[in-house]
Amino acid sequence: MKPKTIEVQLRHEREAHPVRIVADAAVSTRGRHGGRLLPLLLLDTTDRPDIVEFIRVHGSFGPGDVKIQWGKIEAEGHEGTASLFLKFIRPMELFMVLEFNIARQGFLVEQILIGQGVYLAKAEGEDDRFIKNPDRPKVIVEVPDTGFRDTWDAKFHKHVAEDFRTRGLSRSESRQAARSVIDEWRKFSSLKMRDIHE
Amino acid sequence: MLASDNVLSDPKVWISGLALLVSICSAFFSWRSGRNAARALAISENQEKRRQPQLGVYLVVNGFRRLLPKRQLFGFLVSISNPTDINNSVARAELKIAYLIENDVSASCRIQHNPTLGETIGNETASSASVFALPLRVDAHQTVSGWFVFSLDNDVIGKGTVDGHSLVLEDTHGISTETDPIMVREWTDETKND
Repeated sequence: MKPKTIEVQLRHEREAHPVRIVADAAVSTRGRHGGRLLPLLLLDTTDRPDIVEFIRVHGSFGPGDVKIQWGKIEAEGHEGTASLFLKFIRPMELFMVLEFNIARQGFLVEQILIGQGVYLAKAEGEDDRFIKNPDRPKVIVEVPDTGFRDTWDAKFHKHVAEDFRTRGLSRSESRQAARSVIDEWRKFSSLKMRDIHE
Repeated sequence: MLASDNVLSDPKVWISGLALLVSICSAFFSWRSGRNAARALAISENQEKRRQPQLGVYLVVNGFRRLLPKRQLFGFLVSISNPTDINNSVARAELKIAYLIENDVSASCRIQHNPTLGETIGNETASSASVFALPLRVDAHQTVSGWFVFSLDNDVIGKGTVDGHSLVLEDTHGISTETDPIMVREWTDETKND
């Protein structure tokens, strides 16, 4: 199927640039989001005070609304990437793009697709890690199935296999290794905390 | 015999004349039917346009704000009209507050209309006020009037500078209508202060 190209209306130029992911973690909380294991992304908000404000404001409100779209930025320097476009409507209006290098960060995308959600939090510095402050304010974004899975599976296998090829594996070995590592990751990502009543 | 008599008596001439007359009539009728078709199309388009959901929001007076110790209450007296041929309803009403945070970066948050606040605001005069309950039905070619009330915790805006207020209404079809920025007046109960 031919990919569809859409233009996104931005409120400010800063929204056009993907928000850099400083570090990531995986969080599973009993009784929340079905206990599913969700990736947590620590974001570089140096140029995005509006994201900091969004995370702060979200603490004062209940659940909000967000429109999500998987895709790819059509511009130079974005080859081999997949992007998650997030347009928040409530409680704050905000647009952000999270870009993932498929070979290196594709496992985060895989985890988002399996867990159907992602946590977003602010990184306090370049060497920040979630474990340094697990109680920091964070926002959970639900990412339901939008039909991206089929497209993603093919892309993910291809890029992981290519990555193995550059590390010296043969063509058939790299395919097999990609299949194997993705299967193992899926098993791990499917883990979930049992609910209190289970 | 005169030459003119010869011309009129020649069937070729008057048959040609008759054919010309018929073609002129035909051209006239086709022009008229084309014009009627264009008018019928315009009427159909207008009718179709009137079947597209659309809500008009008119602010009866400016908005009011009442400062409380930890929060602010906002009240807006509006009339909502439905100029279309289909029934509609307001599914969601929100107060959009645009404000500036550090480095003059603009942000905007949305607060939901809370009809239960009508009692909080209530005093002798407000007891007769009609606060909208959502969803709010607005039938075709009808207008309804009432209050939207909102509560904003002071923590939400924090140290931000408020830039403007506007109302955003969303109808059953998910179509949003946003008002122009609204001036908000302070509202105090002077009788209670005395």
